[in-house]
Amino acid sequence: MWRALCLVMELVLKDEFLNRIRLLMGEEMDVFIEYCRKPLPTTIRVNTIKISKNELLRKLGARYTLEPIPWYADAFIVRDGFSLGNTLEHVLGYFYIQEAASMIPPLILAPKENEWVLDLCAAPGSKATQIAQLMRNTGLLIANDVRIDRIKPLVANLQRCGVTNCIVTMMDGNLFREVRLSFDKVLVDAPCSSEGAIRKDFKIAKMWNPKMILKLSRLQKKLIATGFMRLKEGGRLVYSTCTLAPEENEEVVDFLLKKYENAEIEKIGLKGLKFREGIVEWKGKRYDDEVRHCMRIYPQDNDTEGFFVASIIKK
Amino acid sequence: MKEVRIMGHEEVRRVLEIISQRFSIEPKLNYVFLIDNRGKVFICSPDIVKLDLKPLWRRIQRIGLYFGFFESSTKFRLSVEASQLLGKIAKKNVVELTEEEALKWLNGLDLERKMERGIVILKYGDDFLGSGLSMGGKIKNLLPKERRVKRELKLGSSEEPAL
Repeated sequence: MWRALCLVMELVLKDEFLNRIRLLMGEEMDVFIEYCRKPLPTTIRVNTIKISKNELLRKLGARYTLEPIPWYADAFIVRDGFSLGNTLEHVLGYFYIQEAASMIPPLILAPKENEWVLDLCAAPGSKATQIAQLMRNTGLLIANDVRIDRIKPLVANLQRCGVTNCIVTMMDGNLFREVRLSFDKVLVDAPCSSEGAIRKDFKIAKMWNPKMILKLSRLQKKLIATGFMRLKEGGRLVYSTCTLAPEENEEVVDFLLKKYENAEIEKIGLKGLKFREGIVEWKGKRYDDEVRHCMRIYPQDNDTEGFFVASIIKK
Repeated sequence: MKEVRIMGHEEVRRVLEIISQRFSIEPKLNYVFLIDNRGKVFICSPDIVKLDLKPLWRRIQRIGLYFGFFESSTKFRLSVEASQLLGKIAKKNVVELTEEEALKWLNGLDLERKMERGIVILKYGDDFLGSGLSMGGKIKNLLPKERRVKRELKLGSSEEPAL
């Protein structure tokens, strides 16, 4: 079945897409394709709002093989994770099935107890529930999304995880420009072309087109600027996507650095996580040298989805 | 979201009193309590009172965690999460389920049990599965439809192998 899906993937990958990836990956192109053919490992995050890591290990340990994720003490790879969503522990909200790379932006955001946090594009809630647990359910989290069909799973996931510190709003993220509230931390996990998630869903390759990248890039620039406006002085904004396209990543961060003198990019990393520097030149465009400090994660680096993460401080 | 407001001190006291009498506990819940126009009660971090909600009001879909619902003036139904918060300290009206009963419960079915009428907390092993309404001869399933499991559920612990 998986081999058949891989064949379908290769048939639908457009030449233009492959050329762009070749330009990004260079000699690693074959390794990248090899990883895109492999199924993603099932990964879970312990919901420490409801249960301790040891207690969950005791409950799941007899039925599943759990391997630690080197860069996150509360997350595990479940090697035989079939029907994990149909366990009592999942129904009761003791863990969240979340792709490992998607756990990185909240870890870089590092929200603390009693802070005020804005998650601008929050649905379906994997990162919002993770943020709430990092805040130990204190302070205030505003989780926003623009689409009504995505609000329902967001609310359901926050409830299942026992989150008490969250207000869910539904609006175009850009309208937060008019909302006179300031936050200690802002997460902009922007809608993107999802190139890094092709392993998860081949439909992404089928839908991919270069016009979509430019359209999304414009939207992402608006969202990052709005997020930055809502940040307190000294606060941190994390910008993330699950795409590899520099137009949706470094170019968006470069736009913010040029627009706001008080935006300063932060060097980031997690112990045990392999990643690459941001790209400073792409298709004739030169970006601010500081975008090197962004984090590029390729599927072959940690056996995850591809991801991009940047951390910006408001001086 | 339906119209929602912060509950007054007396209203919160009434909720806590019903819970306290039913489960013989003194709940210490450091939350702001809110209620919507259908009688659904939510709990939220105390920081909510520091926030000026006016600019967001028409955009709000949910505030805090759904805690429970007034079945009547003397009966307060607990959400799964409220049962998890209170179950550990409850001294009475906690029903311990067998594996077979737990599976039936999570499938949304009523349970045959003869016991005192009123709201009860359901427990399987050391897990709390929400609340039900004891009607004398049976416990009416109050698990929300979206939390019910249609397929066969995997139960088990380190001591008990999975089904």
